[in-house]
Amino acid sequence: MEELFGLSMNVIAAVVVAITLGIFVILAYLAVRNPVMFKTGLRNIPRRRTQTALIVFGLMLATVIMTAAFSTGDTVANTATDDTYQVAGETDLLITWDEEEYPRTEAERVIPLDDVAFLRERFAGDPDIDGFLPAIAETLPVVSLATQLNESSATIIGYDTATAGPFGWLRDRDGEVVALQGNQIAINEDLAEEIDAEIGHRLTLLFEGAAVDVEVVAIAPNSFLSGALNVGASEYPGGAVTFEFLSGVLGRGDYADAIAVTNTGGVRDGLERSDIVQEKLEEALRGKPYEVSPLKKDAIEFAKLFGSIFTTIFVVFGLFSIAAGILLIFLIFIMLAAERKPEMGMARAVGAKRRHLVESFLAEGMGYDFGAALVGLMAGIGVTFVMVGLVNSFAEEGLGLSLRVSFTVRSLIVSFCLGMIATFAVIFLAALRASRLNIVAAIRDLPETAASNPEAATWRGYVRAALNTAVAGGYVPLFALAAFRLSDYSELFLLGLLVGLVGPWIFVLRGHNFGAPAEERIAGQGIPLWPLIFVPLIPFIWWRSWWLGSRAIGRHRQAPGS
Amino acid sequence: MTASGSTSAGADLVIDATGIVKTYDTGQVQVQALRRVDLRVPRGEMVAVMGPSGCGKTTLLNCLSGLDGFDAGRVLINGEDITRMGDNEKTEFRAKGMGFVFQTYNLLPVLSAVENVELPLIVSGTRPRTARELALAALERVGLRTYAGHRPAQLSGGQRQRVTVARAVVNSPSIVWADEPTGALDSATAGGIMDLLVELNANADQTQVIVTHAPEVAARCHRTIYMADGLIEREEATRSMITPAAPG
Repeated sequence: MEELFGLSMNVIAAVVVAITLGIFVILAYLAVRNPVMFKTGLRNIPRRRTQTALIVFGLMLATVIMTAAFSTGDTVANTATDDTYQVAGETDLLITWDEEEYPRTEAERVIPLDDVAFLRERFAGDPDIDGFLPAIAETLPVVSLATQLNESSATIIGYDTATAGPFGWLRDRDGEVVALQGNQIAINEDLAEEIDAEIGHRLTLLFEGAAVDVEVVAIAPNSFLSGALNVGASEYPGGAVTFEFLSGVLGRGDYADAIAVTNTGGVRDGLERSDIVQEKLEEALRGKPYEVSPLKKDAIEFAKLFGSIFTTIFVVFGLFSIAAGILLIFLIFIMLAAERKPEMGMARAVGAKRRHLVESFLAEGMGYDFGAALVGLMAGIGVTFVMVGLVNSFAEEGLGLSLRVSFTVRSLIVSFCLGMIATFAVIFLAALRASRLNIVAAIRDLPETAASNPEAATWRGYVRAALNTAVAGGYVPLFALAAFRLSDYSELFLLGLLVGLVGPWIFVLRGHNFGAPAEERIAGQGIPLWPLIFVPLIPFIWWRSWWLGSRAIGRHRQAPGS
Repeated sequence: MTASGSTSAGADLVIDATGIVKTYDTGQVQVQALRRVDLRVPRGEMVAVMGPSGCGKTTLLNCLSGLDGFDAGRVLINGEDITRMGDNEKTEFRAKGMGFVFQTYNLLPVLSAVENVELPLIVSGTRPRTARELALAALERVGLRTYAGHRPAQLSGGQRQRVTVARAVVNSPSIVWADEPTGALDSATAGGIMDLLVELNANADQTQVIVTHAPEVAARCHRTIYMADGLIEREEATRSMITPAAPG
């Protein structure tokens, strides 16, 4: 799988690994700087083993879902690409009539063999092109005279098997090279299965009311050379005959329907040359009514896209489960904090700051998190095996391919890191929440008492609330101005701005009554002044980074054409 | 009624509290726990705070030490106004200049005795090695050097309270706040803890504010303040600040 949500998996992997390493570095720093609070956190892990097991189980959810989604995506993509490579074989590109540019009747959309000779001569010794193979193809009904079974649309391909060497030869199921002549046919496995055909059986091909008999001399694996032309399809019933034979049946003469092209290199590594070969062929065929299609490359890309779509669907659905899991993790940590309230209160009383409690919780949480991510990784792989097994047993026929579990190290690393990061973020937020405690209430394990608000449900209180809203809302004109200047990205910009500005303001303003006489405020809880300086900077930073980002995107978009 | 430490007028004040008001809001009803309390305590004085349950003793201690906020008034500790301090500043102030002893010990169960004692030092920025040396020295002072590696669960009630005292004094604070320090101990162990506090007060010139129900604890302090209904009702000198402590 190469992309997720349009982002390269390599980029995603690099970012998540960097963030995860950053988390570990921070934790290592905390452990060295404040070993006591770090130990306090870590030593809480084995205190209650059943509780620890439950926490690890809850925390691993995110990793399990991520791993299962990525592994399933890899499985689908790899199975599909493996099948595509197997079917396409050495055939990399296809030269056909360009129907869009040169609309003609079907009988006229043919390629003279002279053009094949021209290409062979021009590209003789070319380091990127290994060979050309002219072919005729037709979809025909096939009836087995031996079994009386039929296939209504078998793809019969005609070519000179003696010149198919660069394409890996036409080979039977045992790998033996098959050389066809006369009315001999080599059918592929799908067609053989469909009509229960065996070597020596006689088949009838039906074309425009005429019946032509052929003899099965070989059964070949599904491949381009055995009639599996629609690479990437779910079924490929077909067979191969000689060019002369099929040309005679169809009345084509010295014309081919297509020219198969094979790149230098093997089945997989030859793919890398597809772009350059396509360029060369298009250059050579300029002015001729043909188009060059990177058959294998397109099919492989589609297979990968299929895997990405599969993963994306899983991840999107998984996000709902992860959201539920995040709530669970949050609640687990709030409950842990509630259980240890007296200890936390005491630590605060003797001089531990809020951040020390957060650090202690992070140490504990990351202990659970690391274990959970490892267990989640294993469980995710297990889930993938189960899912693939279920899909294969229930839907193999419909899918047309038998899934084989496979996953890349990159996907596993991304899953592990994403699980770690998601859990770290939740633990951090939960720790922040838990560290907000009244020291006295915590030490005595009493419920928190709210500060009295003499203005609750009074006109003065309402006026104050309106004032607070107006302060926060003062940034709306700034949003509008910025959106106007960046009209191309205005919706995203506004969304980001709303989150970036209103969020901090609401956070900063919570619990504070601007304008209240100082003597009415609770002692020791003055209004913080730093937001008045810092928060107005946010729109500028946001606007500036967005502006730089959009310029970079613009340059990136212009680059190919410029 | 308001009372102030007249005995301390003109002396080097460690605690100077004026007009402290504290109201608890339970949502249904508001309870005035402290009603304009004034208190002055000079350096080196041991003050006992007594009174019936619910009279505001612990609330007063919490407000004076900065553990809890209050609704009105001003508290100067060593001349610094804690009401003007932010949370972090106040916490650091506590870590460096105050020690706490509570009835229920409140030691962190996952830390050993020495780790509990060094906690206030570590969180206030002392280097771990120095903190360990100071913590071991503090345990030595309370006679628990050999128990340094024991966790609270492996110690008796009296030993835990000694660890708490060691933690309270490890940073050489100018004030020790003690809330029922002997409340959970038998009389012999309680006597030992009071010996320790009195000795620390005498040797280190520490100011101590001790909330207690026990007259024998108050008897070993220099001054006893009696509270009722959120007010300081009266106070009396128990023993002179220059006379040696009575034997436990």
